[in-house]
Amino acid sequence: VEAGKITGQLKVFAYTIAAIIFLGGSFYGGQRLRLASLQRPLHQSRLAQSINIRAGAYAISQTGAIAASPIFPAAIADSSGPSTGVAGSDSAIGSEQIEDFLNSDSPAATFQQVYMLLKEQYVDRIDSDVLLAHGAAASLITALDDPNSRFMDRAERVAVEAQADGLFQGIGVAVMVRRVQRPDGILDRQLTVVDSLPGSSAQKAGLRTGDIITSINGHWVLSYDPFAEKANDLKKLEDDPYSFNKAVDALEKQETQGYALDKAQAALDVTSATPLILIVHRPGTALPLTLNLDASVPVQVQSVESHRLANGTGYVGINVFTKTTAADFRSSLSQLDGSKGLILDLRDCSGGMLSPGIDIAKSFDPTTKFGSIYLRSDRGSKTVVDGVPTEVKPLKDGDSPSVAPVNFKGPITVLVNQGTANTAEMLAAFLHDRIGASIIGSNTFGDATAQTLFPLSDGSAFALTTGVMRTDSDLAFNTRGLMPQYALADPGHAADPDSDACIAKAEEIIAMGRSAKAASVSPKSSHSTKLAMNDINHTLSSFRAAAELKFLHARAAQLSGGHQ
Amino acid sequence: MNRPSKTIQSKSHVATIFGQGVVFLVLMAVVFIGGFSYTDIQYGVRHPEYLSLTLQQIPERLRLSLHDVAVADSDTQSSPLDVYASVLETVQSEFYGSLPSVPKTDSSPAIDSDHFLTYSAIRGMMGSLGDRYTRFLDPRDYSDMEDDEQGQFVGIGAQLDENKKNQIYIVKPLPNSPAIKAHVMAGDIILKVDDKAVLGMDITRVVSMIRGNPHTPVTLTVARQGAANPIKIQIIRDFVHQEVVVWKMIDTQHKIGYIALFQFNEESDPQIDHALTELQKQGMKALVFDLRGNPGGLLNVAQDVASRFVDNGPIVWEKERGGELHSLDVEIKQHNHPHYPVAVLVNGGSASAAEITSGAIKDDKAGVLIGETTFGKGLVQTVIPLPDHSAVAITTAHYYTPLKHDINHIGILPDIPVSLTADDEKNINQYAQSHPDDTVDLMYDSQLKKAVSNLVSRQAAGEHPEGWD
Repeated sequence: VEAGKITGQLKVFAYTIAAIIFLGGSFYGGQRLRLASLQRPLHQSRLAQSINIRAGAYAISQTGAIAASPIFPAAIADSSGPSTGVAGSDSAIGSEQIEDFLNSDSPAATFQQVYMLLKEQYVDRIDSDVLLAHGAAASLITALDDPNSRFMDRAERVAVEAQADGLFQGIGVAVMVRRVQRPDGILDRQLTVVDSLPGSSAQKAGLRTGDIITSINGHWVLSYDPFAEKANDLKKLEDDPYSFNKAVDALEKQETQGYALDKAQAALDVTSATPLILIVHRPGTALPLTLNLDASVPVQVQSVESHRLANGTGYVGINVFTKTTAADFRSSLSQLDGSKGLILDLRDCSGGMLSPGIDIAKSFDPTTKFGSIYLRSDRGSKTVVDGVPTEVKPLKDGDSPSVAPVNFKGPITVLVNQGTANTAEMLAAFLHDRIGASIIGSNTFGDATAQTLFPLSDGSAFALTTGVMRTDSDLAFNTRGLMPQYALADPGHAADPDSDACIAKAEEIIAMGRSAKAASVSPKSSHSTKLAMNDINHTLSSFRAAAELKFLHARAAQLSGGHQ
Repeated sequence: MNRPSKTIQSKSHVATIFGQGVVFLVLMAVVFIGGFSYTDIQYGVRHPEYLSLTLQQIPERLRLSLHDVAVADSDTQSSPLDVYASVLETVQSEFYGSLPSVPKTDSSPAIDSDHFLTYSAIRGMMGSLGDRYTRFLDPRDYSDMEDDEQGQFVGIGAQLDENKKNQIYIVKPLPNSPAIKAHVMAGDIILKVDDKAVLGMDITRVVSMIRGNPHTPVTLTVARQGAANPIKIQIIRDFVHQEVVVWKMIDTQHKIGYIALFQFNEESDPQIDHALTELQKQGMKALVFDLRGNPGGLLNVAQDVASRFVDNGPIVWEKERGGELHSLDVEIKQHNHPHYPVAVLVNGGSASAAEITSGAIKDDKAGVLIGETTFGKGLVQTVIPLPDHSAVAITTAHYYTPLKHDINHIGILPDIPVSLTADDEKNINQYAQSHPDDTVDLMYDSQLKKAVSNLVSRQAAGEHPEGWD
């Protein structure tokens, strides 16, 4: 009786379990199939065969939910994605929606169709979706044809993020891409050295500001289309197929073995056991130079260096703007309290983070803005700058706690040269416009672009040009650079602060007692902006003649090309 | 007494419970799979045409679903779609700069920035596989490719070129073309297309202006030597067949015919059939089949063409991922001409379908391969159209010659290697320029000369055309 009872209970139990499992299986299978129900014949039969139930199964496995976004009418988007932020995984997924999406001709649907076909049909099993995703992202960013936007895999991202702490991997060089229209009409994207960081192998090997890197370890840096360059030569060879084919083969080889710009930058930024052999073109030097650089040891760059010069003048040099720069700068200033004057050396400072620059500016004058950034925006105030609808955002550091204002008594001079770029250019302009600092040196580099690093959930990231900065007095200086009041033929480098013309000039100015008060400038003049924008030559002469007080922006002789 | 029996009883009870347990588990599994595929089967019942497909998919779906669970547990990757969507949306809202797009041209519609960026992303995704044959074809690429595969397009059927003064001129009107019917002549310089001056324009632009819909008129204004004034010619556009074959009786003494095939498309086999018929009428006894520089084309056309030379058996073996080898065999219906002694010319430019054809002829000993090692492309692509009129070409299979040789990156070695030197190529090129109407070059083309001498000696040894088994 007992056993029978137990058996009876077992049976009930078993049936219950069976029912639950059946329902579970049904639910599970149904869930899968809902996303997979693609059997409705498409207008191309081969596609119908290809995007079948199996392929559909991939769709649900890697995508959480359908998001109705304005850009993708019915895109499948991950709720954890940084910018989609729509539907969570518990929102209802209609099979019809998915079906409509996957059968549609929208761009996102086309992308997913190709992805599923590759997974399904490619002759070798594709195990890594990471490879596919990164290939897609990198190519999309490259298509923007913006040399300063690039995709980074996890290692590159880590390396770039470490730069905020002053740790530079690879050869320790800051590069940016210049776009130059060549005389033959070809758009050349030159991988240009902004600065070699102090102590880095780039500096030891003698890589200099303005050097153009044309080859890395034998791989040509793909800066322009070789076929466009050789088009005329090739046309001449058309009647001679043998030579023509040989020429085309050579160009193809050059191209297929070359490094795209993003790959070239990554090669410089990442530590590697093998040394890098660079071929660089140095403006003014006829023959290209071959440099051999050690890329195995990262270099820790000291953001701020300071000491008191022999005659009692305070000296502060900023190598790169990192997380600690603002604090280091302030502590340097307090140590130099009582100096007769201050020399702020921004030579060979390629920039770095923007917020420390804002922070430093605030310690001098907490009431004003650092400058402006022009963003692409479909909202807010729209100004048309270079054809892009933009929103102007004042550059103030709203989030940081209020900083103690510095009360540095005495004249301030700022040293700049061709390697002074980005945040350093902004800070020099601010100190001139607001504090009346004297600017000494040569034309600055002219990098006003602002990049934002957008992380992706798998650890990779992409840097995107999201704006262009203007100085506090609304001067645009991208590609043109800023011109100092006191131009020197050879402004020297930050690496050798004790004996150079720039320091001597700065000491002279400080000694002359040109106080900040005396040099105070009428800031923000729309007049100057207009002049600067429209007629640089006129600006130059009129400003020179008027007073050597205006911080001009001028076309740096070696630089040409379009905006950003 | 009780004990043993009880023991036995309890043993049997254990066995029963154990047995029931097994049955239970099996049932549960069946129930789970039943539940899992309930919707599939339901769907299959409603759509009988998909029932067998649906049932076949069940094991694979189960496997994938379980695999997904495993993958999800160690989740570190996001799907390519997620990454693409994030990047695209960020770019659209944040990028400072104009988004790239392609403006409309005469021959192709505009590509907006959404599509431009998406197509770039797709190209990048496909490019990451490192297989140059797996590629994306945007709507324009795809329509060009379709024209190429069909071997016909809509136009006037005249070959155009640009002369040294950058004028576009008619090289020659094709036989039976609308151009020849409208009395367009070789050497005519095109001044205007539909009253729009074209001097100085790029040749591809002029071609796209001349092309259009079938049975629509296009008016050319041409300058003709000897004519005082420009001549206006109205031509009705129509389907034009691409010439993919040239043929000639090159040795009238030994009755050696010559057929060169430039490409494997829908026009190839009919044109070879025609050439064989014409050469047969002239009493052909042996054939030179020239596949040099032939980049390939459609697989089924290679099967058709090779079947003309091979007796029976497989033409090629195909193998998809995880699949078995399966063969494409000789099509007997292609044996509508005698079986001629054949010399096949190949070189490094003979690829893909040309290698399938020459590989089948070599392995079957149906002919002698003369020339240089072939390109070495042992992969098959499937072109799959997408709803937005673009398409993808995906490498879906490896192929092997009838003797199951993998030729990928290796190529096919000719039976009789004959290489052309740089001097040979220069001479051949010069000869071609000074003799533009000659189909073949028996002066400097040492590969062709070797083929002829090979066929002559085989003829002397008693090899003659014969019927098929």
